[in-house]
Amino acid sequence: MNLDEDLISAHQTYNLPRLVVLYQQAAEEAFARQDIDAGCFYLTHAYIFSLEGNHADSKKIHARLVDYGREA
Amino acid sequence: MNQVSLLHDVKKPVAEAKGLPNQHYVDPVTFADESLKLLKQQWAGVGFGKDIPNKGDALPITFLGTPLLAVRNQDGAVRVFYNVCRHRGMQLIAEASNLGKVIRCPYHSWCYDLDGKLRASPHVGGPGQNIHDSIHREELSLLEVPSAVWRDVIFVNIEGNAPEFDVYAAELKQRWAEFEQPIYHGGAESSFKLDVATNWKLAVENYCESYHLPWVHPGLNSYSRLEDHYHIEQDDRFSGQGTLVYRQLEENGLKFSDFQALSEQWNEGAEYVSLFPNVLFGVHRDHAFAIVLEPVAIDRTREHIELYYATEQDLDADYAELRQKNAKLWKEVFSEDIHVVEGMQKGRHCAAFDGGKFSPVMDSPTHLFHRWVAERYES
Repeated sequence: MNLDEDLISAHQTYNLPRLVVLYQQAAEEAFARQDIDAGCFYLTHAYIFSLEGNHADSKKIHARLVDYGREA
Repeated sequence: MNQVSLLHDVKKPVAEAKGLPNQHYVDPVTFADESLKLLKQQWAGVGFGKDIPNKGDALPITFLGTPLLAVRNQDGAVRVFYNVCRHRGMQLIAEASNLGKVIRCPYHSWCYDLDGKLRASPHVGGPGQNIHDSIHREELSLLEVPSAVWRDVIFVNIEGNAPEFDVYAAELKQRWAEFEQPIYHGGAESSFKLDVATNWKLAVENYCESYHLPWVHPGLNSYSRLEDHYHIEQDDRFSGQGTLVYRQLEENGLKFSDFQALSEQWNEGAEYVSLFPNVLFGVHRDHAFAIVLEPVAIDRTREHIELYYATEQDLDADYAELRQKNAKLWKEVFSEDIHVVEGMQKGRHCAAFDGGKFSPVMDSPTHLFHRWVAERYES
């Protein structure tokens, strides 16, 4: 499966840890192609699901968004 | 006769007073006024702490059409918010659940912590931009409703204009100071609801007085006679009745544990009090109960009944049969009241009924409640 299909599957099963991982992956792909807006878009989704799922990556994701000037 | 003079009659001394006029039971406009003045402006019971036992537990409650959300926060305290996102007014939580550490709106994913603070507002400044000069998170916390938990009942003052709950309930707390100790909910069999076709006030009025006991509860009266009861009356706060001959349940030599260090009066004493507006309490040496009257409509009330015990030991399997027996007993007693509160509701459609004539001796706790209603209705 590709990333899109993985994300759809994770949404369908409401698998919060998986959503956090996959959206971070999507963000890294966007950052790799220098698309900062898209990267922060995906990173935001990873952040929201990390908050909801009390995921260990939450602080790390938040810090990155702050670095990009996208989060308080 | 106009409304003012009718309520003037309600406020007279009990021997001269009339009961509340029919409109307080059958008129939708009066019901709406009462919902504001008697319930939303007071400390109304809306739920139970036992339904949100763990940190992160959340319980949506609709009370008089108002969407509320009771949450147990990370400190273990109960807080009550309007169950509405500050962004687009979306209902936040639809079903009882554990939320972990955040309340996420299912619409645009604005996230609040369990103290109501706005933690995230995704894409609010455009895709991937989660902040904006006009979005001041500190101003966008969930709207909190003043709340208090006493004897496991969650009380709210929706309009936020009542005195502090501890002040409001001070006299009853003082009266029952000996019972200010932990209570343990009896579990599934100690929880039941009764849907009754009556106005909520009639359930209060019936609960206040012992006059009806020999007629409506003949089983109780076999050992707890009318003359074994006394009135409990506290102006502006509560009324009810006490008994001098409470008899503990016993099954194969097993009895429930007593609350600790009670004075002798509770050996055979028990009290039943309506804390106005809509919460009914009962205390005994070995168990207690709380009833929240949910006004579903002008002529429909849901009684939420919960039984509690004095120690964790009473929740053991060894006591299961005794707990079931106790719950069955109380369910029978409360069910025996249904036909009278429903019958009084039907009677309120008789235009010739003038509010009724109280017994000066037996009905004073009920009259005290009527007077409380009249005074607040006129405010």
